[in-house]
Amino acid sequence: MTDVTSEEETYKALEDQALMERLTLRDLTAFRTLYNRYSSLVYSASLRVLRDASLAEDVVQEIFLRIWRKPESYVATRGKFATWLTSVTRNRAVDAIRSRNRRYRHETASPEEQEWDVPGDERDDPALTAEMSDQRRIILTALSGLPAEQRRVIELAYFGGLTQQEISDKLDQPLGTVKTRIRLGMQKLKAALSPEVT
Amino acid sequence: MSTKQMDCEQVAEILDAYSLGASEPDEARGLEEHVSDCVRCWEQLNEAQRAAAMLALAIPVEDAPAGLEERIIREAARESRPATSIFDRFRVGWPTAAGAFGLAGVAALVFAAVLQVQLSDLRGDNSDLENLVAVEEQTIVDMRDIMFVFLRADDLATLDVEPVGPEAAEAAVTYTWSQKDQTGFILCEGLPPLAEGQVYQAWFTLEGSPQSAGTFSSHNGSCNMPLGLTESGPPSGLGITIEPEGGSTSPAHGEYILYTSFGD
Ligand SMILES: [Zn+2]
Repeated sequence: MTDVTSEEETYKALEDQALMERLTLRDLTAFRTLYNRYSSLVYSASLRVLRDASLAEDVVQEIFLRIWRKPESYVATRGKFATWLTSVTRNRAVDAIRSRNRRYRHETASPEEQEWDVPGDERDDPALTAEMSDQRRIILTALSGLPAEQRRVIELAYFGGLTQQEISDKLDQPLGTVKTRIRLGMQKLKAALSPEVT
Repeated sequence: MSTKQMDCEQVAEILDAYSLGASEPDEARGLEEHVSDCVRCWEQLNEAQRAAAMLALAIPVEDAPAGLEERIIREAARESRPATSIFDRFRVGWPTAAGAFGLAGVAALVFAAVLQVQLSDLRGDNSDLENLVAVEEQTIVDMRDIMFVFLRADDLATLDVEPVGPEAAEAAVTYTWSQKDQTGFILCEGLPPLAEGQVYQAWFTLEGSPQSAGTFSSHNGSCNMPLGLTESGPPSGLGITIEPEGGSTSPAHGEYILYTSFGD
C-alpha cells in the first residue's frame, strides 16, 4: 500500500486540469491540492480588492467551494486555470465591494494608492508554483515599463473596481484622458505579455 | 438584438476597459452582443482578458490565514456526504440529478430495473425500462437518462470485486462500466456491517497508487453507486475499504476488504 506522503506527491505532480477532473469525482485530496496551490493567490487578490482580511477570507471560501460544487464551470479551452481563477476571484471581490459601497453610501469607493510589487524583488515566493513565478516576473517587468499614471488607472479599474467614469471623478481628470491611459497602458501590457496571452 | 449594434471599431475602443471591469454597463452589453457574433473581436477580447487576469500575479503574495484551509475542506467534505451516496459522481456533461439527495430508494429501484433489463437482454429497448420506472419526478427522469446511457453503451463490461480477507467473505460485489462513456456503477450485496461513523470507500489503482473514487454506505449490506472512470485511462484495479466518515486520503491500515484488478 502507498503511504500518505507518496499520495501527496502524486497529487502535487498532477496538472490543474487533471485535478479539476478529479473534483468531478468528489476527490477531496485533489481539492486540497488545488487549495494549497492557489489559496495564497486567491487570498492576495481578494485582499487587494477588499482591503479587509475577514472579507477576503470569505471570498476565498466562496471561490473554492464554488469550484468544489461546480468544477465544470472551468473550461480548459478558454485558458489557463490560474488565469481563470484570478479573474473569478477579482470579479467576486469587486462585486462584494460594490454591494458594500451601495449599502454604506457615506463610505465612497475610494481605493487608496497601493503599489505593485517591484520587479527585481521577485524572489521566488514559495507560495507560487514555478509557472506562476515565471508569469509574475513577466507581468512585473511589463508593468514597470508603464508610466505611473497608466499603472494608476489600471490599478483603480482592476483592483479598485471603479468604472472609467468613476476613475475620472476620483482623479479629477477628463474621462477622455482616463480612457486613453487605459488603452495605452493595456496595449503595452498586451504587447509585453504577447507570448503569454495569445 | 439591439438596434444600435456596435461595430468592430467601437468594440476595440472599449475592449481594454471592459477587460479590466471598468466599462459602463450598457457599453458592456453592447460589447458582449458584438463579440458573440464576431470571432475577430472575440479573440481580441480573450487576449485583453488574459492580460488583465495576469495583473493579479503582480501584487505581493500573502498566505491565506491558517485555519481557513481546514474550514473550507471540512465544509467541502460535509457537502459531499449526501452526494456520495448516489448521484454526484457522474462526470461532467451527464444529466445532473442535484437535489435528488435522499432518493436512495428510488435510485435503487432504477438500478434494479436496469439490471433486470440487462439480464433479460432487452438492452436498447427503452420502453420496457420506462414502464418499470414510470415515475413522474424530474430526478427520476434524470436518473433514467443516466441509465439509458449505460444501456446504449456497446462496451459494457463487468468485473467481480473479490473478497480479500475473511471480513467480506460473504460479499458479492460487481463493477460494471463503459470505458467509452467513462462511467460505471458498483453493485453490492452482503457487505460487512459498518460501525457508527464509518463508510465504505472505493479506490481506483492509478499508476500504482490507490486514489479515492468516493465513499458510500449500504442498506443492509446492499449498495448501488455510480462510479465513473477518469479520462486519464482505465485504472489497473478497484478496491474497497472501510474508513471513518468523510473518507480518507489513503486506505486505512492499507487493507482492502475487496479488490479486483482490471487485467489487460
Ligand atoms: Zn468585431
